[in-house]
Amino acid sequence: MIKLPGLPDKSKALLNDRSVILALLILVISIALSLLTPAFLSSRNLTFVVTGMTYDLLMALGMTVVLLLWGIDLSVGSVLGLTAVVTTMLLQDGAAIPLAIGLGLGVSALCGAINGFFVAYLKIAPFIVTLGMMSVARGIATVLTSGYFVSGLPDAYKAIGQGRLFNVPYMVYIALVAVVILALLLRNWRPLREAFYIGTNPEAARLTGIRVAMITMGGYVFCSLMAGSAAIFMTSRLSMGFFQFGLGAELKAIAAAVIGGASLRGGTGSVIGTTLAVFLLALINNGFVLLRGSPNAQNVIMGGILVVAIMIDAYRRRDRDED
Amino acid sequence: MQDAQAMRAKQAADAGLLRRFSLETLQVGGLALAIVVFAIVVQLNFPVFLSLPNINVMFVNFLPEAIIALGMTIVIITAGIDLSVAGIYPFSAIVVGLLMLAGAPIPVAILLTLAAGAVVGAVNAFISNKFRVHPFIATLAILLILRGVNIIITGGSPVSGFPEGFAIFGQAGIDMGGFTLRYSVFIWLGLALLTGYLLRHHRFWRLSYFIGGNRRSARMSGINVERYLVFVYMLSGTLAAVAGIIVASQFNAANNSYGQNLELRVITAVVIGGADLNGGAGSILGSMLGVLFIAMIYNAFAMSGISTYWQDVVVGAMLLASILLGEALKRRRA
Repeated sequence: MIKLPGLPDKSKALLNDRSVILALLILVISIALSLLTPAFLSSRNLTFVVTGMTYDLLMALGMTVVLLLWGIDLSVGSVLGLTAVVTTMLLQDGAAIPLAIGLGLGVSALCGAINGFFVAYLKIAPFIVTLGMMSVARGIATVLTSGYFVSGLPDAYKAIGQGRLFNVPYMVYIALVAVVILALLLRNWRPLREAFYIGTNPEAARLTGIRVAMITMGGYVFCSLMAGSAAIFMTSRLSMGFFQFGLGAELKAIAAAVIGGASLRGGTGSVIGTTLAVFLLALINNGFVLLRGSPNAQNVIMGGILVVAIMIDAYRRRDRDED
Repeated sequence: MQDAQAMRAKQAADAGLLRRFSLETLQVGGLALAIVVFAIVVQLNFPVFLSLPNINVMFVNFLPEAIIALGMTIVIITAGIDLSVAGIYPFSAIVVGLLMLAGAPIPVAILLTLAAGAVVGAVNAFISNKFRVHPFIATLAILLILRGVNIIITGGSPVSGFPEGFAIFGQAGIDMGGFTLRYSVFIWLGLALLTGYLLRHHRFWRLSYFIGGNRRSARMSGINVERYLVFVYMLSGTLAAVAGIIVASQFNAANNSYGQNLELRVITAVVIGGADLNGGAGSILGSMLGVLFIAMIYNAFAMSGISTYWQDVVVGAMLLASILLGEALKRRRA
């Protein structure tokens, strides 16, 4: 095996920094919120927070991998909508639950494979490819439903999103397992470790014999599958499918991944960082709701945190960066 | 020695520019051809399609996109991107409305709103320059912030009841018998001709091609790239504010929900029009044709009654097709 000189260690050190900052912020905000309002630490509220962040978390994790590969995926929100519509329509028509979920996820994987094919093999800018997919997937979801809600889902399906273990929805556990697995894979599984290298310098990665195109395509399929999984959880939790599910989710996912340490220039990104970033945003949002601030401030806060993250990054890079 | 190097770099960039220029002509020509074919096909099925009132409707519906695309084209030529226009657009509609409701005279309200758009653009460029972050991220942050600010300053409900004189910018026009040719169309036309001319012939504006084509050699030849980008993003922000003012006048109301996904529609139009997201290529004519094409697709679907829901599928497919065509052309030449 070829040793990838210097890279993993350096990026790891960088990411650890980021995670520590985010964890400290989360701690401070949690303490502040619990002092300000007793409702914050109630198990009901905490469950509410972690359940609400599950969709964002899944999407942001997928986005982290794509950003790592020096890509971007603007289509995730639309893929979520399309998967939601396809799965629920199949269920409405009486398809077996595993079949409906399998086909739904298959559709999302197909969207990802098309994105990946255009990006990795035809070498077209990911921004444009996924922008096109964004229109196409949302358009198909709209055509399929004519803009109506899809409801009347079987109870067994609703149990996926509504069922609870120790009073916490299943999907929270599933999301946590996804975080742990992805974090371990990113550290230990060769193709994902190579993703850091691909994102830093695709040409050099290709010359060292890394299968750049295949791994890149895999990244896009994974990202779409995460959006598809979010769609399954969302539809079963809300007991319906709707073509506008996931509208604008792509920008949120990108913002969360970047706050968590990913860069549009590829080569960096961390599962832990992204997870903490999503959690931080969810906490702040919850704080606004609990303190009866305007929930509309959510976007302002998210944008503000993004700016702060950018500034911290610039400060940390100040000695190394030349161009 | 260094001068000679810079000169050579510049010559190389110029040569690249020339080759791209003819490629661009091909792409713009292909798009124009596609528009003509599309128009003929639709016209044969729906005889009202090319009637003056319907063309007027197309113009009015896509006027904001067309105006914002002018700035986006220049931003993309410099290898940048501006997502914040979709925040500035409703923001400026709201600001101009609130200022007028607060008693500001119409010209003052408009000037302040245009200045606000320019300031937001300057902030975009400042964040991107100062912290060396991709403009996608910088303008994304500003977009998110503005979307929130828009809801907060309006309390989520529309702002309306503007003074009568304000109608001139988006509602009033010349009676053409059967439809009104709005003055706002002339605002767009004037801005498009001006930016199109400057981008083709004015030395300072043409620097955007140089900067987008090869930022390093642009910097080496003594161009203050950072300051130039401030200008470009301020221009983009100001044009988004112009569009916001027009739409506020058109509906006699300003709503925070204006401009959902507008940034991506505009970028799609500009890219279909032959601009390269890697910078160095793009033209006002191409971008305007791109907007026209999307406007025609939306209009034709609305008219056909088949299902307007297909329009997004078609627009996305057109984007991918135009890119593939551009790539194929590029590869054949290389």
